[in-house]
Amino acid sequence: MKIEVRVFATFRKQVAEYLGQSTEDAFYVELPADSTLKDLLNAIGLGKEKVIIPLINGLRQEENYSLAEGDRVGLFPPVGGG
Amino acid sequence: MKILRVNMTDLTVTEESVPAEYLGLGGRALTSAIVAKEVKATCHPLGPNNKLVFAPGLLSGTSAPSSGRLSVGAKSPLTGTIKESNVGGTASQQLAKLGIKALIIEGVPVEDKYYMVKVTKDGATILEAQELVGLGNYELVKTLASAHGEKTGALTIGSAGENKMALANISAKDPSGNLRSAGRGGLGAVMGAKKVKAIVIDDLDAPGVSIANAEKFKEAARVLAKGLTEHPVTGQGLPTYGTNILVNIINEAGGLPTKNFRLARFDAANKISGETMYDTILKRKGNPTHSCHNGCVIRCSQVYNDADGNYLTSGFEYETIWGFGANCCIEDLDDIAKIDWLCDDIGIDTIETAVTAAVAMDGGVLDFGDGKKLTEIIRDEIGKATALGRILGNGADFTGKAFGVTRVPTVKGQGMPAYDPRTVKGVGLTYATSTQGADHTAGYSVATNILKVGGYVNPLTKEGNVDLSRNLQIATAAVDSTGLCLFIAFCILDNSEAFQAVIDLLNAQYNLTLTANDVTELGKAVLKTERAFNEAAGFTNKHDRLPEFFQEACPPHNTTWDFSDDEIDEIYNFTKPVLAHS
Repeated sequence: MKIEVRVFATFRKQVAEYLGQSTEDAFYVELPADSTLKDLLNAIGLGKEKVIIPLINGLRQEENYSLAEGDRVGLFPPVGGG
Repeated sequence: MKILRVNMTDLTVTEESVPAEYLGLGGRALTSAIVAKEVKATCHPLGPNNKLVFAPGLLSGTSAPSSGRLSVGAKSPLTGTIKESNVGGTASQQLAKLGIKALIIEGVPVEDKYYMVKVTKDGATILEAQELVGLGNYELVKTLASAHGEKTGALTIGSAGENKMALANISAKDPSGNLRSAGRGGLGAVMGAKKVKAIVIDDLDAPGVSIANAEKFKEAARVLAKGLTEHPVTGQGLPTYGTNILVNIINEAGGLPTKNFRLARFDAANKISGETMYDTILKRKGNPTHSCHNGCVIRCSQVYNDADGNYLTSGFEYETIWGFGANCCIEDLDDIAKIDWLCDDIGIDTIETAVTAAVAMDGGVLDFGDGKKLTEIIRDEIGKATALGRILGNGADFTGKAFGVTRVPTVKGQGMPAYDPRTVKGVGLTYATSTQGADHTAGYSVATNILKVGGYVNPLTKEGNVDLSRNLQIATAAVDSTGLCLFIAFCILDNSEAFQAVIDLLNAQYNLTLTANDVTELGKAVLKTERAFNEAAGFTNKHDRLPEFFQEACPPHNTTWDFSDDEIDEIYNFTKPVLAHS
């Protein structure tokens, strides 16, 4: 299945280096049908990050979340402001 | 410590000792206590009976990290409520080092002349300042530095303050000679009404702040600094990307108000994001990591240059970029930076101006997305106080009425900041119930709703959000009284040692034995004082409501604002009810 992924802040450079492609905009990752968020993180080189804020279709999910075709995933390191 | 009272009616200054009831107060706790005690709640905010109060925080002027925040209080001409507007820059530390617990400006001059107030180790003097009239803040700060010394601090108003517009802010000079803003609530208009164009602070030979237990203080300062440096938000995220790092995450969360709060995602978010801004700053040899006050270890400010590498603006914040970006649909970060510079120079709050601009776009004054036209309108209409400029210059509510617009995102007359209340419900409750009008900083539930700081409360459902907003409003009122930057909350909500260090700092400086519970009680006391003022000014729980258009579903989550009146009223359950339900 195809997952729409966006990575942000320091993850941009990190994932770009791991995948060898630009991560400035959304990119797509092909995963087996029963994959979880954790599988996606492993596939793009973020599997060992201690703190990740994952937003899937705009909602916070845990690492065991079962991904579905067409999911929009945004991955953030800890950020703040206001 | 002393209180300086500057009377603009008879042009006198008096120096007062600090009454016992104020000894344990600073920052917001003190400005609100003085305003509540001395200002008649029903007075006209621009009349002779309002007072403008400046108070450094309890820890300002010391070596405590990130402790240089100043509180400015008065009755607000924008909201009609009590107001505390909080700002960095050099003034808070300079006033504290001079032993000034509060500077109160009262009355209105008899003659139609402008003045400045100069504060030194010998007290304050009032000087005629007709030659400063009409100057923009940037030129004004330079002029004052030439006349009074490069190291002097300055609190100033631009043309908007002189013209008594409700958008008007008070600027504070930062360590680089650029500007920070006590933005919200139109306090620049109060300063303008008192005909004070500038306050200059010279802390040469200042006595400094006395610390009861220097060793304990130093140790607590070290623990807090370590906590701030090691926390990923205050130690990495904010210093690198500034507050604008939020554009992408709030957009992904479906909470970025777009096109005057019609949508909650902006297609061009990435173009105006913190990541794009950071790359642009580096490319143009600006500075991504800059302090708004000396001794700040977070350093979330920055210097943003134009394409030729010349200074364009600084302190270029998320709220500003959201407001003119997503909310007005302007996609060009350089256009937004120019608007930010103009707002600082004219002396207007960027949040209120941006919310007003989007309402004006709905009213047909200009098109959504037209950054060039908006630049012209701010410079040539608001900046020159034309009839149109005066309409816009009085804020979103006023503009909505003038142009027959009903989609006006305000509470108690104050424009709503950069998080949609339907999708970040905790902050929606803060907007509704804050003593300040719609204000995100008053109880920044976004931290827990979205940013994974201080636990997690679902932003889209009601559960837990009433308690979250209440607890954060109480904690914020306490933090705003210390002079510490509110951003320390990102760290201390996660790190109990750093949290304890804040209490240890207060105890070491003032020889106290405060506990966490006492700090909570301080926060509650501040809110009770503020709420009592608002009640006396005519506000009831019926004013703690969001505009009715938030009952429309908002994509992508298609949630609505669905709290009942009773649920909202639970926020202030620790104060007596303002008015029984009818």
